[in-house]
Amino acid sequence: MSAVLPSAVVSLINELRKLPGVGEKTATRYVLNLMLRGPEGVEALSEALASVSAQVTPCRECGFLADGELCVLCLDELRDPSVICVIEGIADLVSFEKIGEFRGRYHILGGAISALRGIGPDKLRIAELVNRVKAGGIKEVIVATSADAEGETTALYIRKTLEPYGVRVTRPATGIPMGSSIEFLDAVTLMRALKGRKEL
Amino acid sequence: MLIKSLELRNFRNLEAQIFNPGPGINLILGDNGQGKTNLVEAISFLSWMRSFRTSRSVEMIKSGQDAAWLSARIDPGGRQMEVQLAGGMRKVRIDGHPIKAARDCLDILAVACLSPDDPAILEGGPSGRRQLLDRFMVMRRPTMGILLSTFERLLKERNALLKADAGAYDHKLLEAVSEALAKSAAELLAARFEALDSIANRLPDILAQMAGNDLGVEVGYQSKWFPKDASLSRAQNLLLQAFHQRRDADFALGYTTAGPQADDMEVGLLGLPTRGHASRGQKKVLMLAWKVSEALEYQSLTGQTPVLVLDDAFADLDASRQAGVVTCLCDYAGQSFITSAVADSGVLANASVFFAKQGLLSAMEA
Repeated sequence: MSAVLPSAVVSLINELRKLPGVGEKTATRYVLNLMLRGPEGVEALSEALASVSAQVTPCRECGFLADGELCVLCLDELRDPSVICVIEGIADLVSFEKIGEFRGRYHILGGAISALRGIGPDKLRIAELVNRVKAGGIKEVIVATSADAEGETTALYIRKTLEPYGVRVTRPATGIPMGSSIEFLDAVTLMRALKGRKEL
Repeated sequence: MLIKSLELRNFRNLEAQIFNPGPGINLILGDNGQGKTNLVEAISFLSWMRSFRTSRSVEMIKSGQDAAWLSARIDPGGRQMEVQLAGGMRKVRIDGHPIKAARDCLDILAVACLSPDDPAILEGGPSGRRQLLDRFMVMRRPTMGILLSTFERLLKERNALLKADAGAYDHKLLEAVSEALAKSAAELLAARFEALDSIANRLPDILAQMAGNDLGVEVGYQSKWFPKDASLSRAQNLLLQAFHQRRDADFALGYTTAGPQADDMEVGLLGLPTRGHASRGQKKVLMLAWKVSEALEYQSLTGQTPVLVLDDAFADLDASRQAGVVTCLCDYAGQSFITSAVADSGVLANASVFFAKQGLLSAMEA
């Protein structure tokens, strides 16, 4: 198919294919549909892309998307600035915001530490987190990185890094799944649940 | 759980065919090289999404062909599992939907399988015995697969740091990885102990039933860093200490020397280790009993009977032990597949019998 298409169309297809969940077929469909919309439709998309690129920058504080120096979440004075929830990426922020339970501020790391993949602490926004804590007024840092090898390592690294500043560092609980009875639980889940127990 | 039908195309030397096994014992007879073990491999693959013979999927594709297919209908629920092996890739669909993780298949079809090389596990190095235990741990609780892969990942992460220059490493990062690894190791240990206990409770009875007498079987966990009878909550601290003490040695070697990746499982008969002492026949009957124990433990935990697959079940066994194995099989409530180069009259009466010849399985008329 791509052999008969103009090279500009092929390069647009190739760009779209880099997006998650988009294969060659879907990318081709998108591009052919755009062509049907005529120059106006294509330009509208092109302008929207250009303004995203020109106007949207990472928030200076938390790393979320912002159209100024600070994002709407960091500008929201109703949110508690003394609690920071540390997450790996923007998608995690969206998950937290969906449940609406967290009313503090965020800090996006931009990934997790992995020596195997060459991602050291210096490649993440950990120094920025330390600066926020150093600046004062922070009571608690919730480290909500993934519960996998990289996420656990990152959480422990952050705890060690923040140790000198006397801030409370917490991690979301893992334990007994909803609706399950203790009798049939595996040893590991039970161990985790017991370690993470809290006052009734 | 049972396989109602299995369609095979281009899988090893097996001819394209639809195999319809019975719900109880299925006895597959045939001379050497006719495809019996290939069938066993296919059944085991459906559950584990990996072969017990090879990690290269291309080896499972009939020579001269580009792709192999397996398609199985599995009860309960009449689930349809389809596997395509091509170009070094594996595509799996359950009821038409691509699976998220290989363990999705374990939830639908659990298989306790004795492969031809299993008895040698008792004689070889510790990695085979660890794998035997870990596989059972994952089979009975598929989520333990996540635990195992997290541990393995953390171990690789720590080893990657140890390969760096010992003078220039990030001290805080090594500490963080070590702590995460120690925590994960303690959890893996808890899961292994749970699995080992469940086998150890069942194995002596099954083995006595098969062997005709009490062989005094004992299974134990052996670890250089984790002392016997220590509490599990201490494991994490003990391992952290061991990491600390061995740090220079670990840096020199470039890998982590302490931890569950270096542990062993000890299997003894009549007070002696099987390694170096047990006969070929003893090892065979022990592994058969282990696999039957796996199936029965799975059944008591989940209420479902896994598919029991015993390749070349009767080889190396004397007549009385062959009869013991047959009794165990007849008692088993689930579906089983037994291959043999010789017909065993004890099983024949209760079994669906198939003959394997030049890659084709044909049912023997009752």
